[in-house]
Amino acid sequence: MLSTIKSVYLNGLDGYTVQVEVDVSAGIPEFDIVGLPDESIKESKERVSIAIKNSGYEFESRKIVVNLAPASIRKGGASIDLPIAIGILISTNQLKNKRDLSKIAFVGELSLDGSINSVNGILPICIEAKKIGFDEIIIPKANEKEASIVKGIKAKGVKNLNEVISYLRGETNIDSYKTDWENIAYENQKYSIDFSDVKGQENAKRALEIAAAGGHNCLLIGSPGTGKTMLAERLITILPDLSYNESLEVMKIYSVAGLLNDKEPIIIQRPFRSPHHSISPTALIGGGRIPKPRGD
Amino acid sequence: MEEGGYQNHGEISLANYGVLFLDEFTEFDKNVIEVLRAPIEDGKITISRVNSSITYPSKFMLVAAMNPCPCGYYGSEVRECKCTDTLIKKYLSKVSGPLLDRIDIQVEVPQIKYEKINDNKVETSAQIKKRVNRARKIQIERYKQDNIYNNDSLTPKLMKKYCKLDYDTGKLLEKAFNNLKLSMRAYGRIIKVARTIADLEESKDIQKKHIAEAIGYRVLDKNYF
Ligand SMILES: [Zn+2]
Repeated sequence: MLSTIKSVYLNGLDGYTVQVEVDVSAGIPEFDIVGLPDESIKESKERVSIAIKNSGYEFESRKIVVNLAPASIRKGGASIDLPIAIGILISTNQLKNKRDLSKIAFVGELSLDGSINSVNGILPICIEAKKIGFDEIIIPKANEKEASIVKGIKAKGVKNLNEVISYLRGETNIDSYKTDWENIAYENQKYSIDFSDVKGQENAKRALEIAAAGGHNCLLIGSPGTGKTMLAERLITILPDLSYNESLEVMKIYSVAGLLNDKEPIIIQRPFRSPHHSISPTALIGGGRIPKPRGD
Repeated sequence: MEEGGYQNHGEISLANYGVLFLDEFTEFDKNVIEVLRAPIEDGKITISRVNSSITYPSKFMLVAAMNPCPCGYYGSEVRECKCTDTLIKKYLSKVSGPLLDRIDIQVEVPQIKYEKINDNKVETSAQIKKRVNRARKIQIERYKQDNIYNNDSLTPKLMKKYCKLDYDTGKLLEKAFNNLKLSMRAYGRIIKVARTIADLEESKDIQKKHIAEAIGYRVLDKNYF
């Protein structure tokens, strides 16, 4: 039996629908993933089969072919584990789905015990899922606060494969996490530093006020000990409030970078980055291949 | 989904809609300073990879701080500068030219005399931020059809629409342009800064005094070269 589950794949900050088509048929037992997967998706096979078994279901020894469409985009990463597992369970008649699968996107990495691990980039994934027209998106529980910031799509956090199964069977409902964005955004931003810490320097302060108001680039020139670094660091306390749209744009990058977490799921302050002067051009503007530590 | 093995975004994209602060600016590698030019101009950076290219936003405010000379005390009343003219020239050449052109506001932070430090009516961040927010609101309102949020993002075309100068004001700018040997880019950037100064005053038009103040922020163009 053939089943189709949808997921959202992220290329940079742009999202695409990925159809996960699973076909199970009699024949020589094998498990194949086709449709331009990269090396990292091959590891999905192991995780998915073991997670299914450890969740109390059979990973039948039949011929299983998973096709990731469209085949024109190379796909990597582990967030496609969950839709593959769901597709296999439906195609093997172990899961009788009662929901409208055309309106739901699935994103999540599986652990061997069937639990669902957080993924990077959940915020842009949800933004893109909403743009594509999904009503709901099933996501890792650990990402739900971050996902809740996106208006207009129901992001449902799940802890393990069994929660998704009972939800799809119609046995349970999953509430989405609610963030009161307006309240958070208008809460007073408190800093431990203040412009009044720097006495005098009216001219430089005026210049920074103008720079903050219009978003202009600024260079402070002065001898050591004049307070130019102190002034620059305090610029953050006078920058204009971040709008909702700007905030989403900021958070998209932090989400992809894996810098949002359950404790700090949202950013309502303008970023202030101060790299050391030893920074490389690549680290500064982006790009380039970096060695990834083994076992990470 | 993350693609293992690639570093995608850089600091400039993490600073999007915020501040990229480069302290001890002249200590940065010249290549590092140079690569900032395009993303500052474009507000985005495209990174090519094996199979695709990815564009990340880079609408950051560059804020840099530096000493006026290698020893740090050029123009100081506290200590004497021991640098030769040639040395200072070489030092400043690191930030000169195309990148400096893109730094709209250059300001000196002098050593303050002790007696000045005792004044009590120093403004707090909250007071300043109030004005900044008001000025930014004016910009957001003005540009709501134009898909930009602030004066810094004005394109030449939009500047023609929103930054008209009267005859006297235009003459003043022209004079500065000739005297300071400014580039066309610096010329445009002065107008943008003047637009912001006018917005802080809630002035509909850019006036002569706004342009004059904006010209005053091209310190390096004036004093050091
Ligand atoms: Zn010196």
